[in-house]
Amino acid sequence: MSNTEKPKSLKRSVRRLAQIVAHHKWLLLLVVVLAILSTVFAIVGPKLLGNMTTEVANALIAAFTTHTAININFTVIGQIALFLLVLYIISAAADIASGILMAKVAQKITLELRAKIVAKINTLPISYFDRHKFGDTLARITNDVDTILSNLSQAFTQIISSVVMLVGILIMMFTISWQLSLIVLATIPISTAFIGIVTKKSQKYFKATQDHNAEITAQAEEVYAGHNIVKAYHAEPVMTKKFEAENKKLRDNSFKSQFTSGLLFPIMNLIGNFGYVFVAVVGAGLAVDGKIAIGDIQAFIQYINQFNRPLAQLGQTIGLVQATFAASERVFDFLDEPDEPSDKATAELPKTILGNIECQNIVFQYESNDSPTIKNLSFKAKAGQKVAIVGPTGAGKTTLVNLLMRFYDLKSGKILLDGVNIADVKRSDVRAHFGMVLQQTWLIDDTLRENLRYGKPDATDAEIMAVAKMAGIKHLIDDLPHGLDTNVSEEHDILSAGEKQLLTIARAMLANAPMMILDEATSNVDTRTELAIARAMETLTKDRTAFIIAHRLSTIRTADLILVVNDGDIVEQGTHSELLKKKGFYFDLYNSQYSD
Amino acid sequence: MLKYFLRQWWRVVFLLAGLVLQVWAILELPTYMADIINRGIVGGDTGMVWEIGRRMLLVAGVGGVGMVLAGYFSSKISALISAAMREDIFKKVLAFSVTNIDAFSTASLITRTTNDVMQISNSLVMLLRMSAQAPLMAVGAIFKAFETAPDMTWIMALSVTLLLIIIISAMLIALPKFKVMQTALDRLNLIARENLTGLRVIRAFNAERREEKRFDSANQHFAGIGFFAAAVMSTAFPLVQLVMSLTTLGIVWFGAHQIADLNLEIGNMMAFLQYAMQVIISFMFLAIAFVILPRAMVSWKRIKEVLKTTPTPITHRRSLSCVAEACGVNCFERISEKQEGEVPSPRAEATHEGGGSQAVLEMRDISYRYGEAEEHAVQNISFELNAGEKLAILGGTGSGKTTVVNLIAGFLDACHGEIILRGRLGLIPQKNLLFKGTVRENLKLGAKISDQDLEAAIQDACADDFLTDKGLGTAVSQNGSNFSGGQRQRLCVARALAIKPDLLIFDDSFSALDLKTDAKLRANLARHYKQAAQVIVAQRISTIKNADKIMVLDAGKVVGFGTHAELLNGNKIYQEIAHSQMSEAEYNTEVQAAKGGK
Repeated sequence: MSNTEKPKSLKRSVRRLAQIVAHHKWLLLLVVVLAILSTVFAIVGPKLLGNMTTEVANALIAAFTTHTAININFTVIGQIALFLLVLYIISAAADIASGILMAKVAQKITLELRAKIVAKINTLPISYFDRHKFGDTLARITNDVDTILSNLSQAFTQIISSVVMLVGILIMMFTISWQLSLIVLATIPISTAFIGIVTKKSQKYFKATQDHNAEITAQAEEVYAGHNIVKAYHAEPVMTKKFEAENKKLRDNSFKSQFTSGLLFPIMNLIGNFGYVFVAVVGAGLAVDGKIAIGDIQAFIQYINQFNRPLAQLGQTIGLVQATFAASERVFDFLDEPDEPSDKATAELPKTILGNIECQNIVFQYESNDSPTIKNLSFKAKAGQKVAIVGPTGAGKTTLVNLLMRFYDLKSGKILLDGVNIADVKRSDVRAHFGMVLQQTWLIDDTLRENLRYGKPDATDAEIMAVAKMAGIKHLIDDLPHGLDTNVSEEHDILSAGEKQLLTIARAMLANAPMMILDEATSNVDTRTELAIARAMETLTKDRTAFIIAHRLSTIRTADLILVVNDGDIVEQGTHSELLKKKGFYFDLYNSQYSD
Repeated sequence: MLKYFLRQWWRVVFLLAGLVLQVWAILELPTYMADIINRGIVGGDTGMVWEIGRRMLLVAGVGGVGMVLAGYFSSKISALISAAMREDIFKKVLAFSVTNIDAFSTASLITRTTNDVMQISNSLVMLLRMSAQAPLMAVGAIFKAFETAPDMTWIMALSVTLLLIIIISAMLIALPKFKVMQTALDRLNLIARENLTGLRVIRAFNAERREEKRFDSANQHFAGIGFFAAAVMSTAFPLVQLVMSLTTLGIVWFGAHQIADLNLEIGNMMAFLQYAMQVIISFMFLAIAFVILPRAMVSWKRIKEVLKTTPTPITHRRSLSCVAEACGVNCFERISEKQEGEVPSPRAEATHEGGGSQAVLEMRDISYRYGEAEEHAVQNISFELNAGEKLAILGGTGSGKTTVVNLIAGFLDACHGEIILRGRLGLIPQKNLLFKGTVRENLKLGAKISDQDLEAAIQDACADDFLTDKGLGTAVSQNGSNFSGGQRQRLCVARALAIKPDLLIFDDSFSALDLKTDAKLRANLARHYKQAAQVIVAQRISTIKNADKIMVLDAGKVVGFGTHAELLNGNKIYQEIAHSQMSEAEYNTEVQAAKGGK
């Protein structure tokens, strides 16, 4: 959390945040009332306590001047004490209540914000995530919302109580003695000037410390990750020298930042002490002349001690408020991103899908690109056919697959599914008829069962085990101590990469869609598992229209149609033997990549 | 930890002196205040008031000096200690072997070097400045209070007890919740991350609503715990405030009775009031220390783990360092020979090579086992590699390829057998590792190599076409992220070529190169580095077909050794791999060719 971050468009952040906060306006009003009540009672305390002391002192002075025995009126003192006791307890109770209520409001707001952000992930066009890193979105869900939560609950009550306290204490001080109040007020510009100078200096050093810390972290990251290289080339002395130089800078700046920021406290304290001395001396003078009661001096000193706190708090709160608006701006920027255009849904797919796919002159361009990725592509895949998509790495094979699933919309042209233009039907209906197995396996942090039936949540264990057998992972599940109840996820290392791949194949089998999209794994799988995966994929594509981003030769050779992609365009299409005869791009690719 | 403090002993002395001055001043002021009231006001002596006031200003000034002194030395000590710690960790990690680093994991070592040290640094400042003052202040204030009004000290004791009860019970209730909160937050992050990485799969399965529900339950759980913790804290602070208010009330009430009984002067009552507040504040600071201390201790424990680890000794360090020096001596012998279970005995030898008959690399019956693993990672590996020869190592994941490379490079120490490397080793690792700086710095890594030689290496590695006009001075950003994968790979090759290696190890390092560059690079190697032996680690047969020797590894054992033709004719596992990577027709042609060649 950084307090120095400033919001770009303050107005919009304030307005959008206010809209959300306004849902809880009655609770918030109660928080305000309770906070004011608690603060006012807390302010009255010292004055009443002072009255008790005055009562004692007056009795003392009377005894001193008249040379009689001390006669303190304990009934009056007792009454004040009892009244104070009640006051303090009410004040504390109100404070507690306002704090808890505020926590409740903050909790509701963050719940709402987080849910909104996650819902937003699912309605944004996929292209948004081509332009933004996942880490950035994650930071909004966690860090930014967290900043809003903690600052809102802190800042809101603090601003109220600080302002009330400041005004209240000023009033109390002036009612006690305007001369003493002026002395205190005179110290404020002095201390604020000092605070200003010191904060400015220390912030500079804090920034430098942060930068050097980031730099040294980067260095450690590089050297530790490249440990082998450092050792193999004996680069330890160079790396150590670089590290030492950076470490020295970090050390010096860290010292300066700590020392300068630490000066704030002694300076404030010294000024406070000087004020204290003057108040004591001047107050004593006034008391001797009978212009002020002793209890009032005591109350006054307590007020000075309390006076600095709301001042410092307000200064802090300004930083908090700034950080809150910066964070809420980032959150609302995300929430206000345009959604995926809503479905036209002017047509409907037939009840039973056969799986005929036809692309007619499709043109597609990524938002971030200058030229279209797919220029003018047409092909026909009949129901049950296997279509292999081949080409060098980074040629844009996945683009075509993404278009079929309507993750992106076309610039022009049509994709027909059983004769219906998929742009005219609901996205979810199109996607429901596709199964997908990607190279990068994706599992949820849940049981094996939930992962397998992800595409068909009501599947029974018998159904699950049936596809597990087909995919060749039945023995794997049987071997696990908890069977289907075993917890799996990307992070857990229970399953190997190949086993995860098999799992996603079984998942797609269970969903039983008439069309399949497959991305063959290239590496990191040993030969035997590779064969098992190939077998499972074969089972999966049987009787289904399948689009396969192919790396295995056997897949390509047996495909009914091969689409050859290069530089983001489909340069050739046909069967293996047709394309080889052409002696074109495919011929070259085949010879260089697959047979050497 | 103590060691670090002892090195700063005189600064610690100055810090303590500063703290004492500061405490003395704070405790002295109320005494003067009492004098002003007792003798000045009640006695009606104005001259006295001014006289005491002057002395008070002096005391306040001395206190200020003490504070600045304490601030200076506490900042200095914590900055120096943390810098020393950071450096110690860094040097230690550099001395670590692969085994040591794997035991900690790189990410964890980075956290220990940076975050953990930062945590200690921040805690140190707080502890030195505030909490170190607290015991001094508490003792002083209690003493002063006792001196001023002995009959009322019980009020102080009572309120301190009450406060401690409040703070401790709040911590006991809230702290475990904070831990649960962290795991709940992790879960929340995990699901959010899953939603992002599974963007396409979720939409493909139309599972958006289900994912929102899954997130919602984690969200509710986290928010629920968060609210509870916040509520506990919101209750504790007003209660602390209440106890402090009631303490002042109690002091004035009982003080008044004492005054009536002539046991106490009114000024002393007011001084007592301030001492009581100081005592309470001191105990609160001590309580804060008990919150900070465990967190700092956790970090210190993690740092200590690194510092206490003895790097696994590697017997042939000397020959490695000679390799990097790239000086006149051009041939070294590295021997690591010992029986399993024996304590490793450092033994390194360097012999000058006379003729060219000796093998560049020899492995004699090498076995290696990781830590407490039951199975050997590699077992009984023997081969010889002469100058100019190419050895390919083929095998799936977990077959032991990387272990063999690590053994040759000296990152691991064989449990059994001996490895002899005669000459300089140029390693091109699987990951393309570059460091922030310039291309020149990256290629030299501290060795003495002329710019001319560097440029030649860059040309041979086909890395000259993407450097800026600055040439060798071209900037490299962190992890080399300003270059593409293929470009980084070529720079790594250049780095290996620059030391004029006698042995080159390519650990799966051609993956990011396009076909044209790949071919050109191979041609350059054949032309300018003809005498260098090569070890090539690969997964696909097509890339290593032409090697002089192919070693097929499976589960750490050599299951095939020979040329492509030999293996294709007689080795079942090699045939199986070839089959899976080629079409039926191609496979048959290959086998035919192999037979013909034989």
